[in-house]
Amino acid sequence: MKDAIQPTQKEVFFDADDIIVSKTDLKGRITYANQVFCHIAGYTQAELLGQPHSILRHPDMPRAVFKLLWDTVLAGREIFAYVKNITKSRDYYWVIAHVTPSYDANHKIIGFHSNRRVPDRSIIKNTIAPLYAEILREEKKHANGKEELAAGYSFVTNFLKSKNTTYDALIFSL
Amino acid sequence: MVAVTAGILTASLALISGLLGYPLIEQAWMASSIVYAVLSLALLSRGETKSESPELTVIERIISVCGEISKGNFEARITENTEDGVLGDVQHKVNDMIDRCDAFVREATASLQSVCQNIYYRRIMLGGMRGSFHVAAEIINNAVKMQEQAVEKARHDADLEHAKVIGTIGQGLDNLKKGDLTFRLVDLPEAFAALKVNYNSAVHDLETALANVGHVAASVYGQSQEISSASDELSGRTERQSEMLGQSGSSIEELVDAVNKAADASTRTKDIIAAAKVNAVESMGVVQQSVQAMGRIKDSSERIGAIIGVIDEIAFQTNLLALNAGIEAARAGEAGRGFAVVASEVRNLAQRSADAAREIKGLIVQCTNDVANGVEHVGATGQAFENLRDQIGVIDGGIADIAGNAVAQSSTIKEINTAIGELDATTQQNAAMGEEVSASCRSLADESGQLTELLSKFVFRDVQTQAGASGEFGGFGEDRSTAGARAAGSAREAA
Repeated sequence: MKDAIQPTQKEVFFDADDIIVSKTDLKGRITYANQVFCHIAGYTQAELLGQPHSILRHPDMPRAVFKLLWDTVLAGREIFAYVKNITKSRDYYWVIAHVTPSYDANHKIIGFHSNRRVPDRSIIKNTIAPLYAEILREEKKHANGKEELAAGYSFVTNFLKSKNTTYDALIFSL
Repeated sequence: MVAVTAGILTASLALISGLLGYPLIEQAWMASSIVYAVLSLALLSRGETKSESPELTVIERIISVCGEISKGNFEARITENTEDGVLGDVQHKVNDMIDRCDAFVREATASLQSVCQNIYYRRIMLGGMRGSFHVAAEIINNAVKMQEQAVEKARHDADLEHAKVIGTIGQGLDNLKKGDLTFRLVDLPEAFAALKVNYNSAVHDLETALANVGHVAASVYGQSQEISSASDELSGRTERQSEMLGQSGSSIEELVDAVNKAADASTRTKDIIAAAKVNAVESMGVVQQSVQAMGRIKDSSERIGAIIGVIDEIAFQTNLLALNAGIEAARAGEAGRGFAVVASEVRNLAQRSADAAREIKGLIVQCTNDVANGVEHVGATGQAFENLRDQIGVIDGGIADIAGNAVAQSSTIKEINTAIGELDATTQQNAAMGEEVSASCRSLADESGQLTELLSKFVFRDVQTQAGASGEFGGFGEDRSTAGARAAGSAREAA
């Protein structure tokens, strides 16, 4: 399916002062998208509501990053992740996404909230893009999705172990 | 529309004020509430007509979302916005305000929550934080940074203090390693008072214990020397005793020889005595026969005497006849001369016969007397033999007793010999044990010497010196070395 997506090499940008905001339900279906989101992704709000968030998934993104993201927020913790998203017209844009769980009055997770900001260009260029390419190459060595994911995930784990750090500490140190 | 926007903005500010505790923003919150109330009233007055106008719909959406937001529910958004133009924009703006408030709340919460977990790198992301949000976010970030620095400083101070404490304790342990038990911990922070007291108390106890061990070692050494010399003496005595027992043993063996020889001699004597007895009895027979022979000699003598009497009588008669013949011859003159000669010759012969008879008679009498004498003597001899026989019997009994006694003696002597043998073995064992005791004592002395030598590697004061200072664990610095040297000296003396 991902082969069917033919991304362009055109990068689009949003204002450094803006925040792309979206909310999803527990299954990752979009329940809210702000104007900045709609504008950069090229969708109307109506087109986005009810869609899975993976509608924005760019084929350059390793699956392991999303696994880490979902594992973290499902455990009730926040996560910061550099994400390359694809627009409706197959262009791309980079964000630093901050995903947090949303709670009801009984402190039960009812969905997730994502604030996405303009990332540091140099971090993307020097660190994130090469690292993701590396993880992706590792994942591509495997035929089925499950093995692909496991390989990518263990690559990330080993990478963090070799740097003697945690994911959060690594992201904030960048 | 402007009023609504202002209200929501103030509501958002009020949220921040709640978070940051800015009293000034409270007033803005109050103002927004009033605007919100006025709008609601206006809506209620128009609501009676149930208008389907898009403005009203949009206002209703805004009111609904604002209601949620003022309750603190930042999940609320306007998601049904399909309107263009101003109506669309106002809804986007409402959402944008809520988004920014929401972002701030989430950021501030996450950052401060991290601080609660001692994580200080989680700062508020300043992207999208405008105006007061930006100011507040920077203040929070600055506060977190200062907190981080304070924690860092506290940690650094604690590290310094720990380093100092560890240095002091290390010095204590180093002294302990070197065996200097006079050292006490003095300069430690209050938090380590218990450690200081425990260390000092432990070292004090150790010092006392070692001093006591030193005394005991010296005492053990002295006593082991005494035991050793006593044991050596005992060993010497036991050796002499053993020699004497050896000599006694050989004496006893000689005695056994002598007794055995005596027993043999008595056996041989018994044989000889038996032979003597036989001889005596035989001799008694001979004496008896002698007595009988004597008797027969006496009888023969008496018969010879009688015959001699007859011969004497005949000689007398013959003499008488010769005398008569001479007288007759003389009367016959010449013719009778020859006859007279014969008669004279006969008378001479008769005389000689009578003389011989008398001589024989005297001899016979003497012989009879001698025989009687002999019989008496032989009888005495017989009696003597009888006595001899009896005495031989007595001697025989005596000899038998001697032989019996010799056997008994021999057996008794054997028992004595065995006893002496056992005594000798025991003495040997005693001697061996004595040597072992001596060796043990020497070893004990050596070991107590070594113990003292080992103790000399420690520096500690004598118990008396300690007793004066045991109440206070500090302030030993000035006399530590001399006391230590003294203790080491006394330890060496003991060795």
